[in-house]
Amino acid sequence: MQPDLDSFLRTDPRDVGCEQALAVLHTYVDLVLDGERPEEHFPGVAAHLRACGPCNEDYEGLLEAARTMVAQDGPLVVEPFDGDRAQLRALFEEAEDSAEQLDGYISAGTVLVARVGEEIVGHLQLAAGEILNMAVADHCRGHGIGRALIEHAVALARGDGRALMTVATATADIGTLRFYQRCGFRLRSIERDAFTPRRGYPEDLTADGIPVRDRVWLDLEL
Amino acid sequence: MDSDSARWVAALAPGAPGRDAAITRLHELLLRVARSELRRRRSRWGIDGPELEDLAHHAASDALLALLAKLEQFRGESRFTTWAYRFVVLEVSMKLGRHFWRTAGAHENADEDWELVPDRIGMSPHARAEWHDLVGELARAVDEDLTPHQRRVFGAIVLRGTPLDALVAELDTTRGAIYKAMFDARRKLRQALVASGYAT
Repeated sequence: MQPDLDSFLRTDPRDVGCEQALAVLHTYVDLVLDGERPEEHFPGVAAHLRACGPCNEDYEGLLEAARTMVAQDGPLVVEPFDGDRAQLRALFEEAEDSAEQLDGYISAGTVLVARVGEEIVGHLQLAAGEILNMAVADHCRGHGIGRALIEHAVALARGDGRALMTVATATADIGTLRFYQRCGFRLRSIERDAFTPRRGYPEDLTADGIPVRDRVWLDLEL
Repeated sequence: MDSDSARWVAALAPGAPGRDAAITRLHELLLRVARSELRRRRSRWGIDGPELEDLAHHAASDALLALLAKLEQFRGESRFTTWAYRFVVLEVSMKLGRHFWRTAGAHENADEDWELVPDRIGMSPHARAEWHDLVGELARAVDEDLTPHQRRVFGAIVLRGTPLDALVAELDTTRGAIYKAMFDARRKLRQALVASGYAT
C-alpha cells in the first residue's frame, strides 16, 4: 500500500482520543513553552495530535496564543503600595492640578495601586476614610480598574472599622462625578471657590468646558 | 500554582473585591485570542470582516461563561492564561463547525468522490499513480466492513470533504465520538486491505 494511504489508515493504539487530549492540552502546551518534551509526558496525546487534524489545529492555536500573549498580559492586581510615592507622582497629578496641594498630602494615608503585569495602571490614596487622590492611566480607562480600586478601598476602610467613605472633586468634573455616583457615592455638600490660584490652582482652569471653581463632597455608607 | 495564576483565581472568585474588573480584563484577553485564532484559520473557513468579529465575540463570551463555571477545577497544572485560552480556542472550533453549514450549504449535498481522496489525505503525486489499483478494494471495504455510522462519517469526511467539526455540529455529537468512528473505520479498512493482500 502507498505510504500516504497506509499512514492515513494506520491507527496508533496509544491514541487517547479527543476528549482526553483536549482535557490536558493546556498542560501539554505549557510543557512546550517551558522547553520540555511533552510527548514524553503524554505519549497518548502526542499520538492523538499526529492523527487528529482538528485537535492538532486547536493545539497549534493554543500554542500560538500562549506564546504571543502570556508575556504581555497579567491579571489586574490591586495591592498596597509601599514604595516611594514620587514614582507615582504622574498618576497623582492626573487628579490634582495644584502641585502645592499635592505636596501637602502625597505622603498621607495608604496608597493602593492597580497593576497589570509589572505596569502600575492606577492608584487610590485613602486617609481616615477619605479618598484623597485617585487616577487610572489614560490608556487603561473604561476597563473597570477604577471600580476595582474603590472596591479594595471599601474593604480596607471597613476593615478599619469606618462607617463612611468620603471623597471630594470639582463640580465641573462631570466624568468623575458620574464615576463616583455609579460606585454608590451620594452628594453631600458644595464648597465654593475651593480651586483658586491662592491654593495653587491655575487660573482659568476648566473641565469639560466648565470653569473649575467649586468642590463637591460625596460620601458612601460602608 | 504560579503567582500570576493564583492572582487570577483569587480575583475571579465569587465575592472577590474587583471581580468585575478581573472578568472584564479576562474577557478582553479571550476576545483577543478569539480574533487572532479566527484570523489564523480564516482562509480555510472562508470568513472575514464583520462575520469574523461576530464569531470572535460569541466565542469569547461563551468561553468566559464556561471558564467561570469551571473555575474551581483549575488546579494550576498550567498557567492560568493557557488554561483560559484553551476554552476560547475550543469555542472557536465549535463555532466554525456550526458556521460551516450557514455559509457552505452546497457542501452538505456534495457527492462522494473517490477521486478527491488523494487530496484529502495528503497523498503525494508519486503515490497517486498507484491509487487507482486500490480504489475498488477500498470502496468494497467501506461498503461491506464498516457500520452504517462509520460509513456515514467516513463518507462525509473523506469522500465529501466535510470538516470534522462541521460534521460534529451537523450530527449534534462530540468531536471525540466522530473521531472514534473514523478511528475504527480506518482500523477496519486497513485490516481489510491487509486481508486482501494490498497491505502488510
